[in-house]
Amino acid sequence: MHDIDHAADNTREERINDAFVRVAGTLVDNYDVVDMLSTLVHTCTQLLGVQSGGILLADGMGMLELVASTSEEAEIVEVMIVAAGAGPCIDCYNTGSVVSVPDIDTDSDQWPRFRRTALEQGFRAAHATPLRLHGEVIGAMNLLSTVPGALSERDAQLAQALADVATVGILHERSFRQPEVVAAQLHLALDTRILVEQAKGVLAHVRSCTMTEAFDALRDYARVNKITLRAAAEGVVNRSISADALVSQNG
Amino acid sequence: MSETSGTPLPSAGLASPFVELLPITGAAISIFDQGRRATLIHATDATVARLEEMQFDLGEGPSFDAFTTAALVSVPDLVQTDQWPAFLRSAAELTVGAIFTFPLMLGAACTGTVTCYRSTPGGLDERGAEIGASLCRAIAGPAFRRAIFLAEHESPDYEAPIESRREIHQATGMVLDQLDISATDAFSRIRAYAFSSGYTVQEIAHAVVSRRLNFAELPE
Repeated sequence: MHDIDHAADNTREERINDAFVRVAGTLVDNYDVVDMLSTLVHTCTQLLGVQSGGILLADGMGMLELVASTSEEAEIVEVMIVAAGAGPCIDCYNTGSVVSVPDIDTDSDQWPRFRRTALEQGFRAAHATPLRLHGEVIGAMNLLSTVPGALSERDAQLAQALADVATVGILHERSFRQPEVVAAQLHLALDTRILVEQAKGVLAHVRSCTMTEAFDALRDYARVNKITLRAAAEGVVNRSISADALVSQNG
Repeated sequence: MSETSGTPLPSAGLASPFVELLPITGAAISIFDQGRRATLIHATDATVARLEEMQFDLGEGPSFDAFTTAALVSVPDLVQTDQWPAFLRSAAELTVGAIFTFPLMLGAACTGTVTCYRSTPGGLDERGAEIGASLCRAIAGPAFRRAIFLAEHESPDYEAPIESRREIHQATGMVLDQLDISATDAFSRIRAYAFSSGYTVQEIAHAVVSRRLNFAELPE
C-alpha cells in the first residue's frame, strides 16, 4: 500500500513540477495569457482529479468574466458563469477566501440557480480558489467535480499554488507594484477572450463546426505558426488569416 | 408635469478617471449604434457634452473618425486643423483648444468613443495615449453592457444575467462572416435587429449561434 502511495505521490510531484515549469516556460516574451490559463486550468483539474475547471477575472466593475476553461461547451461554460454571478466564485472573489461546496445538492441553498444548473450538468462539488495579489483579489479559479466531497487540505493547497501561478502568469512579476499596469494586463486578458469568442464565431460559421472545434483549430493554428492566440484571433476576425488556412490545418 | 429645457447632463461616472489621469479638462463617453447614431452616457462637464451633441447633430467630427478607424484621433490644436469644417465652426463658440478621441473596443468591435478635451491647445504624449487606451479597456465591459441595454426596450438592469455575453461575441463573429462586414458593423447589426424586433440582444445572439437565424437570409 505504502509503496503504491509513494509511487503515486512521486508521479504527482513530477506532474506538479511539470505544470509549474510549463507555465514558467510560457512566461517569455511571446506568450498568450488565455492560452496559458487554458493549459493551467487543464493541468489543475487533472492533478486534482476533478472534471471541470475555469479561471475568472474581474472586469472594471467587479463582475467576473470567464477567461479560460477546460471545456468550451456552452453547458459547462454556463455553470461557470452562473457560479460567477451568484455562486461560489463571486463569494470567493468578494471575500478573498476559498469557498468549498462539498455537496452542491445540500450545501448551496443560498444560490438556487447555481445549484440547479450545476446538478443538471452532473456536478456535485465545487471548490473556488481566489487569485490574489498583495491582498487584492483579481479573480477566482473554479473547480467542479462530479463526485461529492471536499478537496483534501493538501489538494486545496495545491489548488491555491496553481492559482498563484495563474496570477503570476497574468500579471508578470515586474509589474506587481504598478497598479495601473496590473489593471491594464487584466483588461488585456479579458479583451483577448472577447476576441477569441469573435474568432470562434467566424470559424464556426465558415466551417460549420462547434465552438469547441473552432477554439481548438484556433489554438493549433497559433501554435503551429508560433503566434499568440490573440494574434491568431485578430487575424481571423480581420480576415488577414483566411479561415481556409485553419481548415487545411486540421484537414 | 414640468417642462424641461435642454437635456440634463449625464453623470461623470466612468469618464472621471480620464480627467484625473490625463492632462485634459473634461471627458465624455458615447456609445454608437448602427447608422452612426450615438448616445452620450457620461460627461464630466457641460462643454464636453456640448461637443458630443454638435458632432452627433452634424454627423462629423473626431468621434466618428475614431469610431470608423478604431484608432485614437488626436487634434492638439483645433485652430490648426482643416478637417470637419462644420463641426469646428460650431465648436469655436466653446473654450476648447485640443481634442483627443479614443475608440472603445471589444475585441475587434468598436462600441463607442471617449472624447477628451483641453481648454487650451496642447498634445498628448505617448504615455498619455497609453493611459487613455488602458482606461478604455477598463471601461469596455461596463460600456458594452450599456450598449446592450440601449438596444433593448427595457430599462437598464444591472442584475441582468451575463450568461449569454459569450454568445454575443460569438454571434458577432458569425454575422461578420455571413454579411462580409467588420466586427463593429456586425455587432451594430445584431443590436439594431434586437431593437427593431423586440427581442433582447442575448436572444438574437443565441438564435445566431444555434443557427436558427442567419443575417444573410434576412430581407433587406
